[in-house]
Amino acid sequence: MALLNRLKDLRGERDLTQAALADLVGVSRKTINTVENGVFVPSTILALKLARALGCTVEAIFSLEEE
Amino acid sequence: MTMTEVERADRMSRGGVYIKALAAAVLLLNVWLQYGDAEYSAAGPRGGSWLVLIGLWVVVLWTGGGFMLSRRLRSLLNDELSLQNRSRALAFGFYAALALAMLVYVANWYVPVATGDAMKIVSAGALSAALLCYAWLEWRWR
Repeated sequence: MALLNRLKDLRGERDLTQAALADLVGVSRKTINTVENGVFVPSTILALKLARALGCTVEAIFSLEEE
Repeated sequence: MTMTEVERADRMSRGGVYIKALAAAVLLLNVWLQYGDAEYSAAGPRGGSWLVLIGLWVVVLWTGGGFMLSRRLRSLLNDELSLQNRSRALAFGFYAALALAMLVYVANWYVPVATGDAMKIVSAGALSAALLCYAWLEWRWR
């Protein structure tokens, strides 16, 4: 079951660059890029940090692809 | 315009890719140049220098390096993506070591391979494989 994410859209809505978001959550820009592209699945802690930085819930960012 | 720490970590990560690839090449070149020369495997400065070379890069691979950097910069360079990449690289190096050990074992049936040379082939080969794998994973998702 694949993990879907709206990280890029939510980041864009808040006018944040990948680097700016990376700075807010304390990871590299590369990590934000790979999460957005679905290449890297973030840990629970990182997912929560992303949600906090974007001012939304984790479920608003990530969801499971329906089979 | 001053760089943010994220931008600085980005740049350093890219530089680290080239350094790791170069280190892998140097390790393999050393094995090739020193092969068959007993002086480079004997107890002494030359033999000992090999241990220092391998040991240093093992430490870098194990810890992520960057000991002189600030804590923040180190944490950016060693974030969870990099930790995953490093973990994959170490696993790749482990399998490379096993493959090389088997290769040297069989090669010794046909051509005598000195113990020191065998150890260098396995250690340098495994470490180079891990460094190249790490460099590739870091470069691929830059």
